[in-house]
Amino acid sequence: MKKLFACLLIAVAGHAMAAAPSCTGFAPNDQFPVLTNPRMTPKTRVLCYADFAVLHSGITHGPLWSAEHLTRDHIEAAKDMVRTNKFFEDSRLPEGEGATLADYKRSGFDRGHMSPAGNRWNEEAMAESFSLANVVPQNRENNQRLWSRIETAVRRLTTRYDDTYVITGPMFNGQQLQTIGPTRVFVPTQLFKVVYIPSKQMAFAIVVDNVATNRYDMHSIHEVESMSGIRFPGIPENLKDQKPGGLKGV
Amino acid sequence: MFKAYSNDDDVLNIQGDALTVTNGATRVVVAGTLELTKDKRGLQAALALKQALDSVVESLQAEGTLPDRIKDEPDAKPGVIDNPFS
Repeated sequence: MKKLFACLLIAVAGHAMAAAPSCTGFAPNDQFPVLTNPRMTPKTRVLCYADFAVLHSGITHGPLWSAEHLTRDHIEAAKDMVRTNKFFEDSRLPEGEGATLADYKRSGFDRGHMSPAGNRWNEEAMAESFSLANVVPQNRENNQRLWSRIETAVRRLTTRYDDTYVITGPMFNGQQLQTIGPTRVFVPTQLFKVVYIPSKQMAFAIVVDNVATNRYDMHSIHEVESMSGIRFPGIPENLKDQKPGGLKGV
Repeated sequence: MFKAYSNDDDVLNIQGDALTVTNGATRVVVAGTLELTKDKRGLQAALALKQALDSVVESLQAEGTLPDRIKDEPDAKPGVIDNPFS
């Protein structure tokens, strides 16, 4: 009997280990983005955090997307957050897959958040947003100016329309890429932010080059799907060809 | 608690991302715009910023001799690889 019980325990434990992390709720309609470029799929793993989820790549040594579900109340709470945070290496990643703090040191690049610290509405989530699995090497000026204005514009949309799904990630285009640090963390050529507001039946994407620029481009979801090699199955197909003119205040 | 110049990895966030104080061994970077309203929220933000800046001042004053201006350390040259995704 004891033996049978032990076997059962192992079976249950084995099942729990195999289960995919469950934080799909941060993505539109509970569906994570899907990689359509098969070259991107090796060494990827989902990391669940308190109020966002990341698909991490052991090839780029950073996120391929970071998904968050924003609400008006959470954004209000986030605006009151005062906290000393610390960038950290996520211990759930196998050795060599994640970027290290040393990679970014004197790299000349910012540790650019994908799901931003300024959207996190509790202590745990804000601390976790400083995981290197949620950041990419981002041009400093871009991060501190243009990108910060884009993040603020998305918060304004959430304050206005409430429930908003945002998926942010890097794009790697061109024959050659730059890398930083001993781990050779890939430097993205562009960054995208996909925004879906169910109550407004609105969906669009913002794309910026990862350079010192004030220029951003608006794209439809279909366009960004073909540019990024990532599909967003949770966003209704009939909204995927919309393209608003621009973002207020950016 | 923000301890100026003690590491390269701390970031003090005030009112979300409105104002950030990024620590570094040789430089501390203050970035953003902060509205200090005449209320408890304003006081909380002001106290956090004051603590960080007090730490900067104390740390600098505790140095025996400060140079007039430290040199910018050059950034490491980025590596180049063939794009495995294209």
